[in-house]
Amino acid sequence: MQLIMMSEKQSLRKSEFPNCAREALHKVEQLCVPQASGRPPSAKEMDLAMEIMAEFIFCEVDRRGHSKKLTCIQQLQLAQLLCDYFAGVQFGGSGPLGAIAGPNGDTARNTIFLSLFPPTTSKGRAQALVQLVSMAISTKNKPVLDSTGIWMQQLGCTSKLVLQLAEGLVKDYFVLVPKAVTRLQDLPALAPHFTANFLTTVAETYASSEQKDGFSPPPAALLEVITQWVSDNPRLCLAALIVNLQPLLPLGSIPMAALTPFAGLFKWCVLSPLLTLSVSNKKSRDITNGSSNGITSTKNVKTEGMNNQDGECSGKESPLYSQLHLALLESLVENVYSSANRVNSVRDVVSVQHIAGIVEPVHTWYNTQLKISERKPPELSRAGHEALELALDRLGQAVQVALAANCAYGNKQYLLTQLDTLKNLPGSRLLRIVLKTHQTPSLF
Amino acid sequence: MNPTSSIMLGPDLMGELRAFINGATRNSRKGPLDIGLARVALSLLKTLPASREAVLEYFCFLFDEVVRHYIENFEIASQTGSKDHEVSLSAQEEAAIAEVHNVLCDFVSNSPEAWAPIISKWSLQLLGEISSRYASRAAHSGVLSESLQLWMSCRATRCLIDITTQCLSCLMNFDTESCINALLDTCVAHSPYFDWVVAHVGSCFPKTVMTRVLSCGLKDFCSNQQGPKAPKLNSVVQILGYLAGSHSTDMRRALLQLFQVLTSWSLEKNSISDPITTHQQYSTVPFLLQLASMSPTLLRSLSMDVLHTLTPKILSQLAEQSADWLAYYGGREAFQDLLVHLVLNCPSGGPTILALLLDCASPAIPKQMPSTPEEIVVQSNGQEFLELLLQELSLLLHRSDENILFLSSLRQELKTVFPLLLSPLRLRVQSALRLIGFMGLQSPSVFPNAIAYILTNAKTEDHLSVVAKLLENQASASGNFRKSNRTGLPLEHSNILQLGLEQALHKKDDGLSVRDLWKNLTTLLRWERSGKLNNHSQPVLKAIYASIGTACSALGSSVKPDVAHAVAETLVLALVQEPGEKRTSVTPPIIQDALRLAHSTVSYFFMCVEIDDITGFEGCQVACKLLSRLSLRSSAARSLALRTLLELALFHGPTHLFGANNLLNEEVFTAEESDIRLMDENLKQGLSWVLAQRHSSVFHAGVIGTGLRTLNKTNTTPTSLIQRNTQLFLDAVRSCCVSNAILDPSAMEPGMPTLSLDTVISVSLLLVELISPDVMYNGLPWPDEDMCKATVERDCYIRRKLEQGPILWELLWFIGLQRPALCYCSVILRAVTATLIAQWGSCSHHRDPSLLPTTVRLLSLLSLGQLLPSPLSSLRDVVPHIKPPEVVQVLRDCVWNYMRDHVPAPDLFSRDSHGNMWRDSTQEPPGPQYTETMRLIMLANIDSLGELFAQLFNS
Repeated sequence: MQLIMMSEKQSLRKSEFPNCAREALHKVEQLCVPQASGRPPSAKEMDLAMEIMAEFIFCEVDRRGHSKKLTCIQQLQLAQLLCDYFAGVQFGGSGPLGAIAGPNGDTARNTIFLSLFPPTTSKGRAQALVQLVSMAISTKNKPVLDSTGIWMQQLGCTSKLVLQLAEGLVKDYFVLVPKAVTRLQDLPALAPHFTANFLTTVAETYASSEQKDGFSPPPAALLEVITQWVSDNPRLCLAALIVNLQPLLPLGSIPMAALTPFAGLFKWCVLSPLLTLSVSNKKSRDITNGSSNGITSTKNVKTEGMNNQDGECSGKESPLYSQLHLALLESLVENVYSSANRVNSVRDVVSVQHIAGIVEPVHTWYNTQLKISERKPPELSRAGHEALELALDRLGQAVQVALAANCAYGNKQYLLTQLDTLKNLPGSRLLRIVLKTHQTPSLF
Repeated sequence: MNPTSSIMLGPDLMGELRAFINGATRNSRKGPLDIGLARVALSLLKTLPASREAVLEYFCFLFDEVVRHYIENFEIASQTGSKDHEVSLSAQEEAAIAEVHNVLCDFVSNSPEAWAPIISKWSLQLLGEISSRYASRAAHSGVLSESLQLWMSCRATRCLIDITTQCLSCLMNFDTESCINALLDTCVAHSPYFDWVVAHVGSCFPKTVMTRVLSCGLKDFCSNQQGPKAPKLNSVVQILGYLAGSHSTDMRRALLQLFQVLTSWSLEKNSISDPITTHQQYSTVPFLLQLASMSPTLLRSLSMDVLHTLTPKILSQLAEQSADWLAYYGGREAFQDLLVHLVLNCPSGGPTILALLLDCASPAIPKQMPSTPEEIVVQSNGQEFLELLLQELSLLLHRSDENILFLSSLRQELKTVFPLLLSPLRLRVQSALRLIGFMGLQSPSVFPNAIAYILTNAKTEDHLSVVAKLLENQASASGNFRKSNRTGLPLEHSNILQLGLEQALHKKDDGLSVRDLWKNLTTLLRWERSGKLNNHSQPVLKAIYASIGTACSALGSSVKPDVAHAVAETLVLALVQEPGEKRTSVTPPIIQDALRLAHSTVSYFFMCVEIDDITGFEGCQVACKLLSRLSLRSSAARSLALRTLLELALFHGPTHLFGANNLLNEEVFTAEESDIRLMDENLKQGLSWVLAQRHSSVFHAGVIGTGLRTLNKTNTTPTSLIQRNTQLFLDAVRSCCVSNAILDPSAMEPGMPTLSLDTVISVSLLLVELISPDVMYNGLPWPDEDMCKATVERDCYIRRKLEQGPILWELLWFIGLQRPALCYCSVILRAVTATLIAQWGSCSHHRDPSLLPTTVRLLSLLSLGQLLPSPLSSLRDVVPHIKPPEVVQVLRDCVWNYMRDHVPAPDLFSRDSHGNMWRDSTQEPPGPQYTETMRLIMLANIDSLGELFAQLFNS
């Protein structure tokens, strides 16, 4: 066995970079994908596959194990090569085209993909992944995107690697080259599973509890695209739940539970009015304090009307959040009313725990506002009052729809208890009604 | 292939991607540039985000290629010796670079937040690589401006720089930190070759770059805990040094800002601050010092603004951080050493440093005395540091001749150092003395300046003692450094003092300080006299002698009496030796000075005479002392003094003070004379006929046309005052006439004359010259009485002079005492006698009241001068008792005839054993032809003259 491994490597070493990577992929395919026998690869085979990947595909180490790096052009070349490989166009008749085609081929592809990018992926390889996926999006490479979607779900949409991937993609498409956004419009149609998981991750990125205010506004272009996606594809958010992963996964793998973007996106919608208000408040305070950056703040305020719709630094919340909120609610409702006719209607869409997570940032915001309030006794400004009312209304709507559609899972009582704490906040009329509907009357 | 079409289908994109990868990997650095490939790359950059880094890397190759090409051309051009260094690129290269430039700039300007960091990092790195790669080939010399010119003339690098600055200008607004960090990092990596980029970028945003470079440097400095060995420090210093050269104002502002952050932070240190900030703030001072120690330019900038914000109070606030500072430099001594050297190298701000140190070490105002423990620490440290600094200075000066910047800066601001000399605080005085000593080594003019300052401003003896110390200092200094003295002329003390004195005198200042100056000089001179100065070459005296000219002008023309008094006092002390004192070895003033001094002294004398109080009196005495001293020294001065004295007292000076009566009010004439026209004058005379040689319009009663002649103005000066003044005047004259004998009091015998006879004779001759209108007939002999008819006009003139100036009588009296000097005034006596005879003869009806006193005065004078022998000498007692005709008789027979027959000549007198001249009248008594008239008239008036007659003729 050892001998075989050595000779394998030796033969690979004879060729230069792009070719050796190509050949190495074949080797990895042979090693990882169970042949007709159905026997999963042995540990040694896996180790060899890993070494080959490191040395010949990603060229992370040289033959003596010292680390090295590809040039950027070579990295690009590798990404292109992987794209081609997964798309299966390049190998002609001789290659694994036959093996990969069909559901069986999907499995093989996913197997290789998952082994190329294991959960312990190094930083360099993670960047290669970002490059690969980014290129796949640009070139509409469905096989790669499908595999990526499954990879994301298997690793967990909130895992570090996946967050990195999402971050890289957002940077590529929404920050650096906004013109390339046009390529994303048919992404839900092309790769719904990937898109859904991407959405979940992105929603999590911008609304994770690690953020300072519980929410940081996403780039305008991203918000726009997401709103469009959700509005146009009501079932997009459910895509991850619909796909049955088991047949697509390598032998012996356990499919991971899918997470929908609902909770995260609802959090966006609920918290955005609050955040927009406090951002604009801070700015106006800076101006009145005459602090050092007063000039730039003034400029921002002046241009407020112009960049109103990006919702990032304007006093008014972007209308896109409204749209997004509506689209989300519709998606939920769609799920319910179409369930009679459709086979693949799903139930466990939203976790109550997840929704309950929205409550705490609202409280924090409220307390902060009271603290900075100049009135006695402290109370909200008019704008603050309006923002809070909007936020609580949205929260109430989301809860009501989720509960009514019966697509929330988990300890509902916990959610209601959490929501109960918001009852006494100003502007919580709708929320109180919702609570009244769902709370079982107390025994006492 | 259209690079601008942004929307492409997948396969197309894939094709482009393949084309790019093929092209980029095959790109074998040879052959012409493939502009098609460049366009593909650009299009990929716009449409395929994943290709970003690869494309940028490809652009690196592209730019490198272009620069290589450029450098090759450049080398060829310089080898062929073509003057024209314009090296052109191929059109393809130009186009490719232009397109890349455009696209990248578009990216940066469209979304600066996203693209600027990426592009700036890329371009900086590329620039760094390119400039260090080709540095050896292109830049022949390390001169910054040359390499700047070389690179800026290359299209590729220019374009890169342009992109960089554009990125930075975007970044400057929100992410300065990271972009400056990138700049610094690249600078560290490609150290000497990257300077031109920093220079260019820095001069695009001097303010921001400086501020940020400073703060990045500070962070680096304190974060690595390495202090002076921090990795980026060198580049920080280089960049700042370069920028400080061209943007010194911004540099100073940036430094000041950094420092103010520190001070304001330490002021409100109660506010919560995290340990990192604290650490950073604690490192600010060592950081700044380190910067300064590494670059003179920065030291200069630092010493301009930051220094001025330092006060002892701030220092004590900073004191608690000092423990942290020491950690950077490995101990207290090393830190002090660094500071000392920094201070010594400060090109400006020397005075500020000194003031600060002194304020710390010994506060001038008691309120600032240290109270808190920190302030006491600051004080003791300040003292220690000052001492260290001075020691180091002294060491340096002894070791080498080179210029010390700190001293030079102090020297430029000497006026800030001098006041320290007069400080009541010992430490200040001593420090200043030492500093002046040091500066004096390099420029000897410092000593005179300092001395001038002290002389002018000293108020107490303590202040003056500093002069003595200065002189000692200078003595030791010039002793040690005689060889290294730059002027090559060893400066003596007197020279220094003299130069100082001259400077002080030439300073146009108010009278008060001039007076103080002279008073100070007097004190000094007194010390020198008494040996307190411990200096045998008598510098003070020499200095005073040397500036006697100035003293004269102060003495003579001074408007302010107190100044003149002070000057006179000094001069007296300088010139007049106390009896028994050793003769000085100092060369006396030259003749011109003596003459000037004589003149000025006389002026001073008359000024004092006018002052009607004790100071005036004292002044007169001082003047007399001066005059006598001068007269002894130089006969020229003596005669000048005498002449001036007499002229002023009699005619041109304040004659009224000596009882002068202006018989003719000449001023009335002169005032109206101005606009008289001859025509009008002629008309005025009308028909009256004109006599030759005569003013027919002038009569005794006045002038026709001007009304009656005003009556004689009688002198209003009180008699007592006139007497005093006269006495003072005679004293002055007497002072001028002193004989050399008084210089040697031991050889003086009691009866010996103290006045020099020759001088008195010259006084009498002078008197004749001044009074007599003629040069003829001024001889000693008295002619026949008939001759008086010819000389009547002159006689009247002389008589009038005497009437006008009673002081003349006093002078004659004085002369008469010094026999036989009166002989030379024979013409005056003769004239008076002649007029008296005429007057007595015509006064039977109308008698002038002054006639008799004048006669008595004349007779007394004649007998005093021993011109009239024994019985005749008593005529003055006879005259009041006899009638006018008898007086005429007596005057004619007894006086005139006797005088005519016995010419009043000096040879009538003989010298006695004491050297006094004496006329022994018993040897040849006057014959009866002279005495008979007198005897008979006395007999005729025996009732009143009996007693006298018995005495005179009863022998």
